[in-house]
Parts: sequence; structure tokens; C-alpha cells
Amino acid sequence: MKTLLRSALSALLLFTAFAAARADDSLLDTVLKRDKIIVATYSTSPPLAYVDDNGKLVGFEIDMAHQIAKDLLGDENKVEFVVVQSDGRFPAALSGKVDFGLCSTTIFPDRAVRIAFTRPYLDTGNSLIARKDAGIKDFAQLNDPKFTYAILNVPPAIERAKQLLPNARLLLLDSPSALFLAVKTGRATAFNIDKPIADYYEHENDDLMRLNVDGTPFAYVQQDAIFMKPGDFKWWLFLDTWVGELRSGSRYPQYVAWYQKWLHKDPPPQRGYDFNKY
Amino acid sequence: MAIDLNFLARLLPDLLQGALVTVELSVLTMLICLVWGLLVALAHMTRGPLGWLAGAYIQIVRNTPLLIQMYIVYFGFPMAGFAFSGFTSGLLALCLQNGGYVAEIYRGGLQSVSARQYEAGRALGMRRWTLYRVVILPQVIARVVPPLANQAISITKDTAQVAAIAVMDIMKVAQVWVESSANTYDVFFAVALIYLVLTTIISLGARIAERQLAFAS
Repeated sequence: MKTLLRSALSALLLFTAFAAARADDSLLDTVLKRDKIIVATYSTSPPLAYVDDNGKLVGFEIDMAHQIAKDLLGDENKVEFVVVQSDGRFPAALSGKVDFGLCSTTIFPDRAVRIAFTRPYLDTGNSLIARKDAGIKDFAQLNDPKFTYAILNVPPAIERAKQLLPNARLLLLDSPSALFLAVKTGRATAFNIDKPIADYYEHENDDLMRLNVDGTPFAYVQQDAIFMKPGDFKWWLFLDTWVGELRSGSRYPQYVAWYQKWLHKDPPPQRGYDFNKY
Repeated sequence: MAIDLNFLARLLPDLLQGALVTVELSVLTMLICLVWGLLVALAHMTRGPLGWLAGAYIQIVRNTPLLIQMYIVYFGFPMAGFAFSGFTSGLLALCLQNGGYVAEIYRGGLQSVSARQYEAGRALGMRRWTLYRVVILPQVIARVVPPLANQAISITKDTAQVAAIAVMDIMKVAQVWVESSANTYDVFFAVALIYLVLTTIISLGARIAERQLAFAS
């Protein structure tokens, strides 16, 4: 009898433990209880996320993370950054080491099989930045075996390179700063990088210039989004709503301010039509 | 987390192509270091500026990270007018660093042979070359094979760092796949397995060599 009671009691305890775990199974609840968000970020991707001259992590994405902490927990400093490399960002989210990633990450269908994205917070086209002393103005001139063309090891960039610049020598590197270094040291003639990052490098370096890519697939838009472990609807919904409000809703003024501060220009309009006409 | 076998089947041909580059780099590094390391070791054991220079070389290459050496060769040399390809830069950095380690292995082997062995050979009237061929070298070789095999394994794993300087070795191929698929676990699991196969082959080769040498001496 005693044994039966004991096992019944243990079963009850186990059950309550499970129930408690179930009620708590969204990261949203975990984060509120923990009173801190943990965010994966880059440190070599200016102006989105990089270390400034004072050794501080700053950038568009870093400001976003601080604001998310403020909205969730009332204090913009309740955020812990985990600096990752590009091949460490997805495992960081999938293993639960971070609550989400803000790593200049492009939405890509193959990726969406294993990782969840919010709607995009940033449209990025592609830009080509070349050494001024290479004497080229147009991307088509780069299609020559005497020139070396550096890109990130990401599939869209590789596909574009093979299709549009089959004759240039190709270099695959793994961070924007490595691309920059390759061109600065003369290792490569030009590099391809997301437009906001290219704006930053062009702005900061007199010996570099942008190549004309108008009307080519380089000018097509790609979309950067927050990513997280899939399957947690409540958490995804919060972050997706947050991005939606930033991009086209109540937080648009904030979006304008960050755009001007980090990208030195105005963001795309809040709506694709003139609201005052309707 | 379950392993996605269909995904691995799509991944494998690319990985094996990268593995070929890894094998090429490893084998070339090992062969070059076998000769280069011996030269450095012999230089290090002489007195005077040559020995001093060899000592400084060993200290510098062993005590700085391989990745930095690769960056210096790959990004730094072009500024001085020497633009080697990624593969050549990687090979050069791997040989520079591992040459230092291999030299120390040889030196250990050479110094472990007791001075009495030399004296005994000379007492028997052996010429210098005969003394080395019959008495000293067989003992040295038997002693350096196990640490050299260790070094070969370490070289194979070190080659992964050439991914940072745009060489399409197995690690770089893996990174490209991770970027497109977000399937980090499966990709790196397969890569680790391939490295394990490569290093196991080296270990087995070393064991056979050790056994042969044991018979020989």
C-alpha cells in the first residue's frame, strides 16, 4: 500500500513537473523569467554589427537587439551578445545557446528547411567594390582572367559569380572583413558584398570605388531577417511582430533614425503607395 | 537530432572533392617537412650563426599561430610583390610551422643515441658514413617514426585552416554547404568522419612502419 502511494505520489510529481515545463515551453516565457535575452551576432560586419574604435560592439543590428531587450524586459541593457562566425550562427540558435540570431543573415529557401526566419528587417542588394587603381568602372570589365574577384562562401554569391563573371578568378572568403583585407592588400581586384556594408567601406576608404551594376542581377534585392530555432510559435510571433512594427508600423520613426545613423540615408518608405490618397 | 541520409548523399561528392585537396596538401606538407625538418635539425645542432639562426626559426614558427602565418603569407606577401596562390600560401605556411616541429623531432632522435655508440663504432674502425648508416640512423629512424606519425596526423588536421585563405579543401566545401543549407550538424559530422578515416590510415601506416623497423633492428 505504502509502495503504491509512493509511486502515485511520484507520478503526480512527475506530471506536475511536465505540466510546468509545458506551460513554460516557449522561449518567450523563458526569456521573461531569465530577465535577459541572449543574441547571436557578428563582430566584423560593419555597419550592422562590428567593434568600434573603443572596443565596443555597435551597429544597426546591435541597436535592434538593445531595443528588443527594452521592449521585452524594460531595460535595453538586459542583453547578452554571443559573437559568432558565420558557420557557428545556426548551431547557436538550434542548440538553444542563443534566443535568436541577428547576423546579417539572408533568407534563403534551403536554409528555411532547418531554421525559422522572421519577416525581413533589411533589404540588401549587392554591390561591387573595386580598387581604384585597377582602372575599371563597370562590372563587365571585371570578367577577365587577370582580375581576381572575392566573395563570401554563400550560395547566391557563388552562383552569380559563375554565371556573370565566369572568366574572373574567384576567391571564397568567410567574412566581410576578410574580403576587405583581400582587396586592400591587392590580393583581389574587387569584392562583392551586401549593399549596406559596401556603403560603409566606400564611405571610409578613398582608394576604393563602387562598380556600376545597374540593370544586372547584382541589383536584385535580398532580404535579411532574424533567425531562430523553428517550432516555437509564440517566440517567433513576438519577433516577427516586432520586425513588422519596425519596418512598416509604429516603430517606423526608430527605423528611419537607425537607417540615417548607420547607413547614412533614408529607409524605403513605410508603404509602397501614398497613404494620404486613400 | 536525426541524421538526414538523403542530405548526406547529396553532400558527399562535393566533400570528397574537397578531401582530395586536403590529402594533397597533407602529403606535400609531410614530404617537404621530412627533408626541410632534417636540414633545420642538422643546422640547429651546429655551433655558430647557422645554429643560432635555425634555433630562432624554430622558436618563431612554433610559437606563433598557424592561422597568422597563413594570413601573413597570403595577405602580406602580395604587398611585397609575391602573390602566391591560396594553395601555395597554405602549403608554405604549413611547411614553415611543421618544419619547426619536425626539426625538433629529429633533434630528439639524434641526441637520444648515446655518445658511446659513436665511440664504439669508431673503436671498431668504422668510417663516418658507415657508422651513421649501420649504427646511428637505424636507431634514430626507429625512434622518430612514432612522433613523426603524430605530427602527420596533426598536419592533416591543421590543413583545415587553409579554408580561411580561400582554398577549396574539405573544410571550405563544408562551410559553403553549411551556408546554403543551415544544416551545420550533418555537414560537420560528415567532415569529422572523413578526417577520422584519413588520420586512421596514417596511424595504421605508422604502426606497420614501426613493426617493420622493429624487425629491421
